[in-house]
Amino acid sequence: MALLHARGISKAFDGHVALHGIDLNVDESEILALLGPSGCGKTTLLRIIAGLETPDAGDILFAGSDMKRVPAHRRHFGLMFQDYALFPHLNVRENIAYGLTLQRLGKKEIDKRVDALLELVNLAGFAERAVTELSGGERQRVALARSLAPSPRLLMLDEPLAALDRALRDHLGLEIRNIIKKVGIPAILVTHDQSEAFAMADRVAVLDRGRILQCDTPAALYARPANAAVASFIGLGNVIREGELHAKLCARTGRSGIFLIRPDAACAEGGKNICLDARVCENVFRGQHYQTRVEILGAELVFRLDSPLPAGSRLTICLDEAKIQTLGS
Amino acid sequence: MDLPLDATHGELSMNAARNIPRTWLVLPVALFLAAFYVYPLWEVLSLGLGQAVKDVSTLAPLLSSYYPRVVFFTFWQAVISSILTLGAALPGAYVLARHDFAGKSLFETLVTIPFVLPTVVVAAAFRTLADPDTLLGSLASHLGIFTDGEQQGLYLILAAHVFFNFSLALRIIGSFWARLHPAMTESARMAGATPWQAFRTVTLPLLSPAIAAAGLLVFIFCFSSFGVVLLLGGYRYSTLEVEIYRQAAHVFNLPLAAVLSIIQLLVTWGAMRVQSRFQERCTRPLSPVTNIVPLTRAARTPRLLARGYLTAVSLVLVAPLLSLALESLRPDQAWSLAAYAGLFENPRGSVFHVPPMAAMGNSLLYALAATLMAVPLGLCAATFVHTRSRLARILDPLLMLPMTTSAVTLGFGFIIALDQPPLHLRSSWVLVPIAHALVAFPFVLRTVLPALSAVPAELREAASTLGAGPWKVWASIDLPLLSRATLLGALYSFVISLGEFGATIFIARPHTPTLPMAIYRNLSLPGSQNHAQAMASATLLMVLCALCFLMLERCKKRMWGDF
Repeated sequence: MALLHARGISKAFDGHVALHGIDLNVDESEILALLGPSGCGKTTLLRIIAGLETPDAGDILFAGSDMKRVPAHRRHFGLMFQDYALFPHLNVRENIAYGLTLQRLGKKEIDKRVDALLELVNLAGFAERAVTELSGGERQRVALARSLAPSPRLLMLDEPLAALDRALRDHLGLEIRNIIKKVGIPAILVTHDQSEAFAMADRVAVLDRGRILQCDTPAALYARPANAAVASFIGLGNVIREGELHAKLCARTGRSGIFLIRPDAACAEGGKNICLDARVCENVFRGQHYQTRVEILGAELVFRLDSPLPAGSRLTICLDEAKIQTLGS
Repeated sequence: MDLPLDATHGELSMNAARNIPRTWLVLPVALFLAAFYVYPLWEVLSLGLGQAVKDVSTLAPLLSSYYPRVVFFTFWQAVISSILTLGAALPGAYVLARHDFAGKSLFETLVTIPFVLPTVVVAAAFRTLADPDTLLGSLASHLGIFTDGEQQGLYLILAAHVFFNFSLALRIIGSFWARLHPAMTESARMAGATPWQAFRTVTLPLLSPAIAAAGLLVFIFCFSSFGVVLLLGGYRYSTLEVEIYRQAAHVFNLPLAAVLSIIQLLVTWGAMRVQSRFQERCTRPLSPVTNIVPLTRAARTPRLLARGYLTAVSLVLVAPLLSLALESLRPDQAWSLAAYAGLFENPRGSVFHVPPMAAMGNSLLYALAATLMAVPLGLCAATFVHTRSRLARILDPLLMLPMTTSAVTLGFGFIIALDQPPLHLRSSWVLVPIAHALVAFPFVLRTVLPALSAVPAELREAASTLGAGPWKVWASIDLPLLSRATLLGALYSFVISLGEFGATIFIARPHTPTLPMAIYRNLSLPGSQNHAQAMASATLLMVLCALCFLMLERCKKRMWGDF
């Protein structure tokens, strides 16, 4: 049973439509990622759920009750801001305790809880530090602890890793996921980074130009992208809409529409494969594999291979028909 | 996991308000302005215009040759003062904008001190320079400066005006110049322009909005200069402000004073309108580049010129203040502390003459009361202006008007408007701090507003998602982050109140004078004891204001360190 229902959420800013009737569900103790390019409306949707913006149309239901007239400070939703928004005049302890103080808890109880939270985010011993002295990763943990402190019913994270450097991201992304799972509350995460969304979320909603294109588990999304936009956004770039190759694929597979050739489609010659003449453009070494760009019948395709092909050479490449999918438009 | 995350949540309220009603905060400010700015000025207007319709004969003096001459003199002394100030400040603006040197911040602090000094203190200081019997005055007369002659008063007035406004012009032009990219003049030079041509054809046109804004502001301040002209101009030189005061307080021709006030208001409001246009153009961001070169690395001739300029400016600015302090220690041309002992005495035992220390006590109390009024008013006004609503944008320039309105006209308006119900305050002591708060609160507004804009909106939103209601957000986020700016505004208010003279001289009761009033009385009375009291109390007031100013500067530095 879904805990949060967003129904038909629409929002326009100065005539520019940011969200077109969004429907979204978040289940109990589920992490949902809103994935999309910048300007796709994902942050606006998050802010509407938080109560920081009012939608032009649509309802937010939480545990069955309508949130329309409930202001942000009474929703009991936590929000972690992109650049953390730590209060510069308060130290780490005071920042985390901010929401607890508002609940009029006793000082002892607050201290105990702040200490437990600091432990949870691996910042034990940082309580009395000024937030201005912290590194990016430390600030992020404080922000997470602060948004968890008042026991929110839902946690929202706006680009939680965007302000960090590459090396920290993978590590902290998993750590945040583990902490949220430990606390056991539902969470919504906004990101423009596909790998971040796949690593951290249970389900991913792909947004583009104010619409949800597909919402599924990362594995299902990757295996069966609903359309070309989703496919290219999650890094499956070999989308064939028209041209000589398209005609050939239609003829050989007996299917029509838009074709997606998965990057692992290239294989050895064999029975059910479609073999075509190709010219090798370049090989990029990616550590675990080579990313090889080839030209087949005027279309550029990228394949993932174990070993490089001689650049500039002409050869025959066979495609596994099972790894050629057709997409909706 | 030991976290009680299953906390029960209370019933959800139906109140969807997320922001404190910021727009309504203008209400107390508007009421205050209506009662103590608009209403008094309205009374002045209706008195002047009413009389013109009823009985023109009381306004007959206007047609004599005297008043046109006063208006003309008021205008051109302000023009000359502005030109002199700009000429003195322009080289300094360049040096400050482009160069770094040892003691730069000390220099900046030093040149700004005059701006916060009370007019009576500056006037008293310049009087000592014009007196050949004083230490520095004899030096000045040897050099042929301020020598006794027909024009002595004029020279003193102009010098005092430049002294006051120098830092204002320096700051406005200097900060603008610092944002002009050096590549602009450099590319003119590369195209074959001489340094002078590059300055004339590129730098000067680019600087013109800042020069115009600074020049007009100096003009407005000099046009409504009161204490300086009253104390230094003698009977030969008189401005509109001084005439308004004489007609209202000495001759009791109130309608004539009202008509003069109207002329005064029209000129300053008009100039203010034009000034704010130029000021707006100055705040447009140019280039964020700051290209500051250490002065030691400049070429020889410009370096020596800059050094010479900085030394000369420092000496000229220190001279009158030093002279005043020296004279306070030399009553009757002999070194002693007698003048300071005299601060506690009332030599003639008159009820209207209090010991300067008592006047000092009054001043401090008034300043405290004025600060307590100006700070909340300024905070409310700043929060309102920060909404940037249409109403806020319309009212913003109007909220600044009291700062540049003639103080004498305000004081005059207070005594004719607030002497009957519903606002029967004529004999109440609160009238003085109210007038001071009126002049001071725009300063609070202007110091708080940038700090308010520097608070990121996400901080308020974060507090809100953590459960803070609108007022709680304001109290726990906005207020603490504004505390330094508020303190800054409070110090400004305090200093402004300490030195306010033009309005105070109308409305303070004679037996509870402020320190500037006591200094003025002592200066206008004959006798060496009065003179010594004036010197000592002016020095005391100078030190007090300078100390407040130094605190202000420290507080300012720490504030910019934070954001």
